[in-house]
Amino acid sequence: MIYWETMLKQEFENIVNQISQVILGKEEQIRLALTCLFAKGHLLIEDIPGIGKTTLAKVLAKCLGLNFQRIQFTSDMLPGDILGVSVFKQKTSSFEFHPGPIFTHVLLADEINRATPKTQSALLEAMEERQVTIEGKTRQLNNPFFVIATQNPLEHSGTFSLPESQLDRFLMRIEIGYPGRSAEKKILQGKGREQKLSSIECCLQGQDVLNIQLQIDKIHVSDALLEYLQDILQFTRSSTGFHVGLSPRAGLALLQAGKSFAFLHGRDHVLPEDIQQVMPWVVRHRLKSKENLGELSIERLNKLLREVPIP
Amino acid sequence: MIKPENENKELGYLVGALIVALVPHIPSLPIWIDIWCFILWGYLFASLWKKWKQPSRWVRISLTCIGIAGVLSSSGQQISSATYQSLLAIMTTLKPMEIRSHRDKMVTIFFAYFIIIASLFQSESLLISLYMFFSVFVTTAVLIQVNHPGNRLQSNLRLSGKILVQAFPLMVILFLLFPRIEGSLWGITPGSSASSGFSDILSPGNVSRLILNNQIAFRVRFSKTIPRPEFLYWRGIVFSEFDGRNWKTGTQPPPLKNPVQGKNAIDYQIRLEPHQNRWLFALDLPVSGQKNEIILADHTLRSWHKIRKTAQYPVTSYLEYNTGQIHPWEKITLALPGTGNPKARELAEKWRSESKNPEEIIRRALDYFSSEPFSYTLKPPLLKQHVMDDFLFQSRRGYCEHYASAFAFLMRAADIPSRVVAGYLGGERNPYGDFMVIRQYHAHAWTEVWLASRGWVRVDPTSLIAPDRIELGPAGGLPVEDLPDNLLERDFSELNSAYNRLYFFWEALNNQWDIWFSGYSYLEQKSFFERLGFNLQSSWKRATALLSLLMLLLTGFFLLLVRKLRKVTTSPDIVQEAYEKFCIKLQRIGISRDPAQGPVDFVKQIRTLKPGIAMQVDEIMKLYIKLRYANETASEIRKQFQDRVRRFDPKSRE
Repeated sequence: MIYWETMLKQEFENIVNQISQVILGKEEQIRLALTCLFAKGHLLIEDIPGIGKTTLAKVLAKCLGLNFQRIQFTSDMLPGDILGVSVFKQKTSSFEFHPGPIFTHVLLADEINRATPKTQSALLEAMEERQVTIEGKTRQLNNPFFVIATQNPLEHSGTFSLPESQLDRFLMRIEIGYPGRSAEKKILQGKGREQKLSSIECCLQGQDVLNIQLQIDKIHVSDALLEYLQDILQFTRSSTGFHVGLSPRAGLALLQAGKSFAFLHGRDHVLPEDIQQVMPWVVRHRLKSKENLGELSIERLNKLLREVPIP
Repeated sequence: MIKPENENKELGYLVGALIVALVPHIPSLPIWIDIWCFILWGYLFASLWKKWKQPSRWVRISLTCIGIAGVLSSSGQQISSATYQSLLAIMTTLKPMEIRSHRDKMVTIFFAYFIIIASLFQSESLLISLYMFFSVFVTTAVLIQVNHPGNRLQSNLRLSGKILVQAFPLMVILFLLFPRIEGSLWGITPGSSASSGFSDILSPGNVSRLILNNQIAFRVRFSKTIPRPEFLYWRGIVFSEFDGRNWKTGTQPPPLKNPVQGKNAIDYQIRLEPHQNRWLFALDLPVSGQKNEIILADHTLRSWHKIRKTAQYPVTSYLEYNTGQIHPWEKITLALPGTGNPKARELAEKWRSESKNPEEIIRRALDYFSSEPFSYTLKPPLLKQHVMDDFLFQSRRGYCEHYASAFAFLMRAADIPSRVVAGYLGGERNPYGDFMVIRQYHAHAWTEVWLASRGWVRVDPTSLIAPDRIELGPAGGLPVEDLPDNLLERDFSELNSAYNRLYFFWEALNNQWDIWFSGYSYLEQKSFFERLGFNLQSSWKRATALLSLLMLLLTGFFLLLVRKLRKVTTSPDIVQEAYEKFCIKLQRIGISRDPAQGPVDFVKQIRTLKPGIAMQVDEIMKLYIKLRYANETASEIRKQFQDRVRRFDPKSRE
């Protein structure tokens, strides 16, 4: 156990370091993104363009030794562009299926809110079921399968913002934010990102990710922790500050993220601190403030955590 | 916002609570107030139903003035409790007219509680007390309704009942321990207790009019068995002076000096209803009294004070006795007016001259009553100037007082000391419990004569005329056509009908209630404490006892509450308890854990604040995390953790 712990910690630090070489000064976001992926969750990155969303997605895929596909979402995109189409082949006078970009391990859905709801829902369905049904035939997606979606929160013209039910499919939503001054200086001085990306080494292989996911499932969750988690859920339901309280699915997501976070920190049990660390990123896109139905600030969510005592 | 319909419903409940509270007062209110109340209550309900506007201020003020003026004028000069009750009744009709705010509703509710308490002016009987519980229940439900307008009435009633049940132990303790005042608590004489019963003059018709009166005179509880009917002579007043027509008590005799010789002692307890006089009733012949009572030389019990409220006293009586020598002051028992009733005197003189001893004279007199056609009736003819002559030789019809006074007259004329005694004879024996109820219609008068060998001896001439009077009660000796309605209705001779059984059962319950509730006064409280082993002489001591018991009870309640609350918030967990202890220890050196702070964060905080104890804290916290969050269940680890926490002393490391 101890051997495994130290091994994993090193491994994990190694991954974080590798990615940090490309995305400078954003360790926290990298850790969160890894937490999300190991928790079998899909990740939504929301930020303005040019901050490194796509790069983060790419580097994550490469680092974990997984296949990577990218779709740039546009308003004229059709579900077939994601899932794949059957093409009639005259030679054999039969339809041959051409798999779409979704048949991969890591799918980067760039600017997901640009596509029409029809296309969005095709992707989101696949995310939930981890299988697609095309022309009556059900096809399993790869395992592991992650979607890293990005969207631009500021641009609204010509976009279709995701409805709440679909936002719920993402385990976490993170923001990258501007780099710090010194980090930015390094970016300005350094080589191009693409070149750095090519120098990244694979840290894991496909099978490793599956193993890690299995380990995370075995993380111990004590009664006391479940009580705490339930207290948080109950607080959002009974407190007056929120439009609608958190759903049981949100509770499951929070627990799963907490387990993953605990694992990445070399523990075989979840602590209240784990929940506290991941909570803002797990619930922020699921809660709305009561006053203006708008988003809650991170400060508000941290305040929520301070108001719920640990039993 | 409460909808106006809800508001109207609530006002309806409020008026309902007031009416429920006022019901016990209605019988004692003047009839015009009853009518006033019914009209205005009807108006109130109609206005709520039809959503009329509240009457204007001037209407309300003038109604108030009219009501108060009416109450004052109808009560006359004497302001009794009925006056206050009338005012309360008027207010119940006027207060709902000005309810606007929540505060008004609360005031109305407390007003209803006050009316309920004031029911005790009316009576302390079991029925009223039970009804008061009901009123409190209803009013409390309305109180809850007013404060939780959204609730269903049903759940309010349930909660109200729950509150009442919870208040019960407190009520019992307060009842037992609350310092009683010697005397009337209210300082108001009850209005409806106009004395009924005897007066200090006995004239023909005085006793017979009482037969129409159903009121209870007193109740008796015997410590052993009830004596036979021929012994149930309840002695009250002795009339020694005769003025030719009426018997009078005369000057009060001195207190009895020498105790009476007797046998067949019997102990019992009497609960006497107020009668505004000082005499107390006791079985012939009382020999012991209490602090507040004296036994006079004529062997009657006398209270120091007028009986203005129900009095309870124990008595011991001898059924067989010898009062011994006659006292010099008792010469008056031989005195007759100088003239009048010549025929009766002549008859007595004849008996005296022909007899050897007084016993023979008495026998001849009794023979005279039984042999001549005397009859027992409630409707005697009016007697003329020489009352005794007229009665003995002309009408020969009369009630007990006629026979008693005629016999006493004859004895005095024959030179035998004699006097008339008034009191009660017999009583209703209740089969549910060893007690008797003596009502005003049991009133009776008899005669006592003095014989040198036996002292004062009871002679009841009525028993010769109507022998059934003793066995069957007042209805027994009377001809059926003479019987008043109140005696006709009741045939207590047998317990056959369900009504009779119910009646006696209710009477028995009432009696118990009177003894345990109304009868629990200053003395009873004192003896209760003495029986418990406390000698609480001063009221200060009693107040302390009351307070400490209340504190004990409240502490018990509080602990229960705390336990309940703790159970809800945190489970009683050994690990968590030890952790809390640990946190408290840290708090003493100024490190307090935020309730939302997890163990790892807490350790970090301690490490920066007090690096000296970081190692120790770290170890304890590791154990805690293992036990609480990791899958660690070994009891050794738990013991180790508890041990570490116990030994943890942050102060020594500073």
